[in-house]
Amino acid sequence: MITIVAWLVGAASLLAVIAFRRFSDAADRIVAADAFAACAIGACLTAAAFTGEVAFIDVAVGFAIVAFLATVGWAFALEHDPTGGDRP
Amino acid sequence: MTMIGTLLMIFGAVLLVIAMIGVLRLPDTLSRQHAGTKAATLALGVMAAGLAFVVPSTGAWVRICLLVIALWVTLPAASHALARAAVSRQLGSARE
Repeated sequence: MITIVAWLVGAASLLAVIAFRRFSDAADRIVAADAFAACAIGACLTAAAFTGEVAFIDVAVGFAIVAFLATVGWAFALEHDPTGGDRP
Repeated sequence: MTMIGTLLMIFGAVLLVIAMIGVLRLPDTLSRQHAGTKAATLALGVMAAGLAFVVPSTGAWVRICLLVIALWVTLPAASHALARAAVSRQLGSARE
């Protein structure tokens, strides 16, 4: 049954990667990267359920904090440079 | 209990897929972000609740509570910062 969870999380990750590749705007790409980080946290939880190893939950907490810092950092960069550096 | 946990995890994973479909299909940055952040918060919360049933130990429960608190604190804050950035970017483009 946990295998179903793994497949669903994999499908969600694939959709996040497709979204990242499809969007051209920097803000949209950050949204897609944030969504992919959520999928990665879901994958950590799935791995914890598969193995019964609680260390994966620690990895998920670390991932959540790193994703938060990355998103806030990129948002700060976008806010202070509205072109996002992706336009001449 | 393991069955309940597994079903909760499947439900959370389905919510995660729905969130990603929303990110992919919605028309603009703010609505994409709405889909991604809100649904992912719920999805990961439900998956964490399911995991608490699957791995029944005190250490796991403490870590899961920590994870859920971290998610509930960080995801809305990151979403708010990104929304501000997206709006200022749109305003900047409108001024040009």
